[in-house]
Amino acid sequence: MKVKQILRSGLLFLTPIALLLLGWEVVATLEIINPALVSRPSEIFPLLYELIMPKTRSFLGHSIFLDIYTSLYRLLYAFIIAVVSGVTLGMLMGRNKLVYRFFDPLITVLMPIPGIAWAPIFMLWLGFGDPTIITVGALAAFFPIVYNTAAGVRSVEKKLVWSARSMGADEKTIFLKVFLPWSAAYIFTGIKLALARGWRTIIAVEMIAASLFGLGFIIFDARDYLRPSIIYAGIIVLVVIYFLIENMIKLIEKRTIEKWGMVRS
Amino acid sequence: MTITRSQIIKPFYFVLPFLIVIGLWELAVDMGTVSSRLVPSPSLITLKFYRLMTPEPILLNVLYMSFYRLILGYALGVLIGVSLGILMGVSNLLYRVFSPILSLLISVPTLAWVPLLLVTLGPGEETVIIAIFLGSFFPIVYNTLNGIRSVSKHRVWAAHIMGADKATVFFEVLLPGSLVSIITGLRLAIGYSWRALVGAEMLAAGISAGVGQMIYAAKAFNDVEAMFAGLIIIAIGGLLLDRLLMDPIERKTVEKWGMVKER
Amino acid sequence: MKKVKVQAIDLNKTFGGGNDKVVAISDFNLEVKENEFTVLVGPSGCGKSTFLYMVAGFEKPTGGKILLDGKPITKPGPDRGFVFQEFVLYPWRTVLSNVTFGLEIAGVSKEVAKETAMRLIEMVGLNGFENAYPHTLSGGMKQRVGIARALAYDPEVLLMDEPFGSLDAQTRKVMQGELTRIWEKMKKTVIFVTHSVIEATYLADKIIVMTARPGRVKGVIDVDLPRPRDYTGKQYLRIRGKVLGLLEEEVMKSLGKTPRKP
Repeated sequence: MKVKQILRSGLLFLTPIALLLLGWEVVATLEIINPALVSRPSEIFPLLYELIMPKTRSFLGHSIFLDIYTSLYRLLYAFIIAVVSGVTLGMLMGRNKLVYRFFDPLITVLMPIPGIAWAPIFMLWLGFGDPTIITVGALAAFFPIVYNTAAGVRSVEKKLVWSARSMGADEKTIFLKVFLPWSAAYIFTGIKLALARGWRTIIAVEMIAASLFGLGFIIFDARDYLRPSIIYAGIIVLVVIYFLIENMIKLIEKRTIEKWGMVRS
Repeated sequence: MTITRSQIIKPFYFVLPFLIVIGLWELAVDMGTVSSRLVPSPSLITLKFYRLMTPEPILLNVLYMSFYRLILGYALGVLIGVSLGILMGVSNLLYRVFSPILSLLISVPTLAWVPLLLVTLGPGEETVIIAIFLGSFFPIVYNTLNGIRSVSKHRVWAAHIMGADKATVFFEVLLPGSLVSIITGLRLAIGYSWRALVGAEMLAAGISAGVGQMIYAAKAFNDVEAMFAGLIIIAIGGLLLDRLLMDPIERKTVEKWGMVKER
Repeated sequence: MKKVKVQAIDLNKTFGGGNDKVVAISDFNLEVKENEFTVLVGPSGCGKSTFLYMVAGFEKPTGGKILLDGKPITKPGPDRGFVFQEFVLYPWRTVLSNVTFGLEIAGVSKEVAKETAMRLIEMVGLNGFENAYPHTLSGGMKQRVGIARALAYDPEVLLMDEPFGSLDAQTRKVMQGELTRIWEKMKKTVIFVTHSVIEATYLADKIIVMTARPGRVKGVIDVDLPRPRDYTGKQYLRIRGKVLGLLEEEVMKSLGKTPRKP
């Protein structure tokens, strides 16, 4: 019966989209809207195929997989940097009131700054390409992690610590066995936000700071060709990747946080 | 009214880290530890701010243009977003038809739409405004429709048994009940809109002045002071929007009704 | 001879279909007399709340019918009042405007509505709190508002779904006394659902014991004691024992019947 359920929900999800694509095709073919704005899906999908296959004569001169790969590894590096620095600082802030008092105002003011706003300055310092993109991406991902980690560690109930102490635990054990698991849920929330924020920032920064590869770059670059199909194709790729990343996170969430009954949204 | 001790201490503690950072920063640049060509000292940045306001109020113009775009785009987002959100929240049919499409579109980074806008609307004001609209639209629709759909069934029942008709249930139960979510959506939307504004201004080559545009243009001239000044403006702008706009609204409604924890 | 106010005839309620079918109530026949305080007790899951929802019009019967003053019930309406276990007050309305809500809907003028509401607020003992917001009130106080709200538009029948279930033991006892006091003033027809035999024996004119799922009427016990009742009185304890006896059998059945999900 579970297969039937999955099929059913899949159908429920896909039917409106299929209808949308159909409507889109009709509108585009009938040229109700300026063809410079709207490409037909029947054009976009073969183009996607072209873009994927490396040797075909696509506008890019290379397979779109290279761009996907590039954007993703930038995300990965940025993410790792952000997680390591963010969790560390977040934990310090959570445990030490002075550290918290010092950094919290700074974070409050710096966090709302959009990632791309940092880009021009870093471009000046680090030039075009990976260094800038990864750094700015890391910066954008850093803040949600540090914020949520600090909040998580600070929220550990005194009584949990007391009960561990009365069982004879030393500071190190308390940290590992009480603070860490408790804040895990918060850290996870921070990581989810960081991934989303980092991804958006990297795509955006690629538009101004990349020179050859990257999904953001090719989407932006495609505007010169006046063929919106490439742009649409790029957007579709973005959606698919986001969908995959999101589901991967959901899976991890199911195996860890949800199992422990500590879901936070 | 006498000023209590805590009223002085709290803002002081907030500002202190900044003073420390600025102090060290100034020292580092003045001592030559950091090249002032790459990182301008706070004093130079302050000078830049001064120069941006006299003899010509360039800064004012920059802020005006950006806020003008922001307000237009955000207002559009609120109008269309709340309307659509309500429709989708109330009608099960509309929800089932449109929510898959919504969840696809919502996953596209706002700035990824900009190249499309550039191709269709050109590199001018419209692109920036529509980009801002797109930034604010999605969180608003999403939160509005979820807010309405999550109003407890019992609350609706209680109104039904008192004789309420559909319109009454909507205005007296669904709408106030979803206010918390709607406000959350408005809050998120302001942040996203600000981000869309800055990014779109950098990508749209045909606009005259703006906070994002300022930083980007400054880079072309290697004007680091202006770049940092722009960054500071962006930071303060984003912060003020959230605090000055959203907090009072929250306080007067959902906080007063105890639907949200008071801060 | 009291008139029959609410009548359930061959009532049947089934949820879901196919393999997931749940028969909540079947062959349910019941008569509730006017101005009587009728209490339904039964084991968990026996369908007593489901029955109440059907009288309220929130759910529709799958078979059979329910009559109010001889007319079938099809949907919710102001001829009935409902008090929920979780209070279900509107947090954005003050106590006063929660109570006047039903009157507002009925189109009653503001002054008359306020007057009526204030009378009820005083009757439930919340004088002085009319401008408070629900989130500032305690559980017991919230439920008083719930009761006042349900009575404000003078319904024919008052339906109460485990109204004191969310309250602590002490408040619960106080509220039982309060409800008796309030009811004595208005003598409304009440259908009250609970799983507490103590509560049922304290409040009811008539106790209806339901079987385990699928629920039907197992027994009817009249409680002909004067109010307010004494929790330790001999008569009270005797009746309580009788009800408990009937109920325990069904509770055992429902526990033994509970399937373990794989």
